[in-house]
Amino acid sequence: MTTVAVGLAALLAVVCVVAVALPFLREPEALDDRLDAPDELERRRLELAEERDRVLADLKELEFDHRTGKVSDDDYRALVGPLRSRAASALRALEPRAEAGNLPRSAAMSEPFPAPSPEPSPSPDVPQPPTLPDPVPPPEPFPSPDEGEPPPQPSIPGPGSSG
Amino acid sequence: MPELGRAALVVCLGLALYALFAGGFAAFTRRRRLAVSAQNALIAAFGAAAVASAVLLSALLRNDFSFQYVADHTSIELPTAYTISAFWGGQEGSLLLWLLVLTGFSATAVAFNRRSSRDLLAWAVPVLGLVAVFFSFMLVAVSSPFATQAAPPDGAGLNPSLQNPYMMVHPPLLYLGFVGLTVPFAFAMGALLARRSDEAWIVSTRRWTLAAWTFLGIGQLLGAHWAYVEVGWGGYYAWDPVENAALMPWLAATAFLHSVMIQEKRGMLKVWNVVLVVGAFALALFGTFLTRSGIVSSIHSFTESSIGAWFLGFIVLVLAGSLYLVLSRLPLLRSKTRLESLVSREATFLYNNLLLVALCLTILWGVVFPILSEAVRGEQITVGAPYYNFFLVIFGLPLLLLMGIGPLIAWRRASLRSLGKSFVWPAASALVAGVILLALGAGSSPAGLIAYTFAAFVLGSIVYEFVRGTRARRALGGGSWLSAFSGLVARNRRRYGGYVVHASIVLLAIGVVGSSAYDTVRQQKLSPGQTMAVGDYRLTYRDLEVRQGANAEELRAHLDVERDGKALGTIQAGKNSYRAEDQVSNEVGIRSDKLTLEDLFVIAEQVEGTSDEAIHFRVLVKPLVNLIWIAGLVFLAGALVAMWPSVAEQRRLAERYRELRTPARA
Amino acid sequence: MARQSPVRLVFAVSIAAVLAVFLLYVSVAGGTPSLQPSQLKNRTGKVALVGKVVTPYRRTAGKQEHRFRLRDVKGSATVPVVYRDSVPDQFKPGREVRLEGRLQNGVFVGKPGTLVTKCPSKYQAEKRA
Repeated sequence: MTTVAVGLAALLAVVCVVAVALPFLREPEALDDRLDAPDELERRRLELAEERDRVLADLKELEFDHRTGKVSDDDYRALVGPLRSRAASALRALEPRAEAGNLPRSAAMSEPFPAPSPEPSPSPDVPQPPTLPDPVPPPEPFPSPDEGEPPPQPSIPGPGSSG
Repeated sequence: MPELGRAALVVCLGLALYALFAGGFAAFTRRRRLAVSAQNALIAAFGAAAVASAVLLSALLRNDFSFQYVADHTSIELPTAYTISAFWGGQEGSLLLWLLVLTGFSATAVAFNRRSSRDLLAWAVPVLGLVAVFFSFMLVAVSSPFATQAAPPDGAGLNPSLQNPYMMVHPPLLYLGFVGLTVPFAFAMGALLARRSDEAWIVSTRRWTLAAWTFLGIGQLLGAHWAYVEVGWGGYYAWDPVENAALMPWLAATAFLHSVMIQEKRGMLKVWNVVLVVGAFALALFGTFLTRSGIVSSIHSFTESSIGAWFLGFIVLVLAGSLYLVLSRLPLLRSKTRLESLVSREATFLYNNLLLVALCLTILWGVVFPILSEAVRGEQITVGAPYYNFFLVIFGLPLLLLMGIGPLIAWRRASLRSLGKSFVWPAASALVAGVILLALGAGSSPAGLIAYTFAAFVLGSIVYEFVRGTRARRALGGGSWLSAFSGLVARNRRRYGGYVVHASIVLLAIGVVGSSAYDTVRQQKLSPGQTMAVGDYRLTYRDLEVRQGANAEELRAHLDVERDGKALGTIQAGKNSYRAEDQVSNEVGIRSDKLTLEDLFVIAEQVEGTSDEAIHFRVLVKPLVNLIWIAGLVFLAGALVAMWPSVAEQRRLAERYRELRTPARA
Repeated sequence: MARQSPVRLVFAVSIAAVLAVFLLYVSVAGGTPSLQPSQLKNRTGKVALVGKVVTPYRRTAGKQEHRFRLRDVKGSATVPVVYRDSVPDQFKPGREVRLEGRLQNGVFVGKPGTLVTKCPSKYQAEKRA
């Protein structure tokens, strides 16, 4: 019995050592052994991406809450303007980096901006050129704030194109 | 074969040490291959722990009494199922189970996170390794399941009170919960070590936390059911330190699950979240320590062994290390946003957190008070159920109410007018319920009545939320109510799954309140032929039956049950005397009413003698108690909905956190 | 509240409120000292007694009245106990128990419903005789 046990134990040890040494066995001479860590640029991009997702999710949720009646018209009017501006700046902040880093445009970026519920157009309390474009028609059936869908992102007119 | 087990544990320890030191070095010096090697070490550690577990399991199944552990916890006649459960029935085996689950979870976490956030994983690996080092060291040096002896002809057997199906599921579920909390802890520490201030660690561990929390909750509920049905004193929770040991990390994890949502939405409370996850993990370790060290007197008296000191030392190390890490990374965790209004969903989450943590801390205080008082005054002063119940009411009632208020309030800021509009229906249902209940006599317990009214409010608000959402969705997309409803839930799993979980907590609260505040208890000595009245029931003691079971002599009193003149059948209550183990167990009789969900609970407390046949009975009527178990099912359903992965979300998050540069391959 | 975050204020007020409630309760209700027979001496208040059940153990027939002695867990001091309620099934000489009550005329009178036995140790080997 003992010999079998010792044999199995030795086998286990060998397997484990191999597993641990595997990366070195696969790449005895690695060109790039650097562990990826976000540098300043990447950290900023992450921060901005999170901010963008956060704001867009907030917008969707605000729309939904307004539709279900949780948020009154007055509250909605007060909140949606600043949120939209924040969304615009968050998206704009990401764009130049996207172009600089050759990020592939995600498919989500081509979806039109969610249609707002009918209400008087908010007065631009934060005048910021360029402001958000009018919602692209047609207003499609608006799904509820959805963690399962990528937040739709408007096509921001780039600098130089007509606002 | 024990040599194989011992060797496997040593190998596991070695791998864990490698994961800790090599992994830490790799993360610090940014070496990719070494980091991957450390990750492999964790995965291999699972393999080694699995081998050790297989050795123990096979020894149990073969009744190999040369293993001291097998001889101490099983016997030849023990049914196979309980022989398997003996794996975690003793100190050493349960530690091995901890290690197995820990390495298993670590390996899974590594596998799932290999492609994204490599630097985060690189730092989480040494943390996971550290915990694995502790447990494998315990198993190798302090408390080994592979001690051998000259094999006796038969083993000592398993304690009869552990020979029931609950023993198969209750401890493993609790362990899945306790150990599961290690992963979010490791990733939180990893994020701090990697000096990352983004949400990657939360995103990666969200489902882990939810799953661990669910396991812990279901495990506790099963434990309560075990106590109710098998131990049979008429209750299901005794505020025993060992019970509290599982409740405290669960409360901390509940707070964490909620406050993490605030961080996601508003980027606030980063420090609070890290502190909470450390607290939850530390409490899980503390709970394991409590059940082993014998330091606090509990009716679940486990042995006083030196292992307690090791656990305490490890807990101190974890707390000190985490504290240092948090303090040194404080600037990273500064949030830029502020709470805008004290009347907003963020604020209600904050109040919820404060109440949960307050409850957790008062329970902790009650648990350690005897130890502290002994150290200070030389005598142990214990606080009993009145202390815990008092604070449960003080903190629990507002928590209950908040569960109803939270979903009705919008984020950021809610105007009182829109709030009032949302409150109308739930408040109306609460009022109606309150009036009806008052008419039914619920005023006998003011706290109970308040709890019921709050419960009605919460249920009203949950139903209202579902209705509002379905209506809005249907208005947009058309279709039937059912398709709108299922679409609503499918696309908002976390929110509506969460509402279902809230509903289950409310049901739990109603069941607890009903069975504690409105129960009836009667004690009476009956001779055959005599009747006693309890509540609406009348029980007549018919006769006493003595029969020989497989390994026990079974004494059963037969009683006829009658209510409002209608015969409801017979109920049996009595005792089992186990010959081999020389122990007596209580076998209660329970009659559950399907309609009112109440239980008639009969305990044959004292039998005068087989010649006399007079029995001292203790009979309880526990209204609504079965809601508690039903709540468990609803809880599980809601948690599953909330946890259910969604492909689109995964894709989106992966896009957010994907690496910018892919490492060049040779 | 332009610059100051209300969060800190809410935290501070809540902690203070909790402490206040807590201290109020503990000072009013108090806890129960857990003593062993050797520590009982002349204590007359309500205490919890912890010890090992030793013979002689008599149960009055027809009634729920149990008379036994409790001994220090690791010692020799004993005290006579009378308990007028049913005892748990695990109760027998040699078991460790805990009950509440008070010392009256040299006999510890237990409060009904408070006697609990410690489950035989789960993590300790039960050696066969």
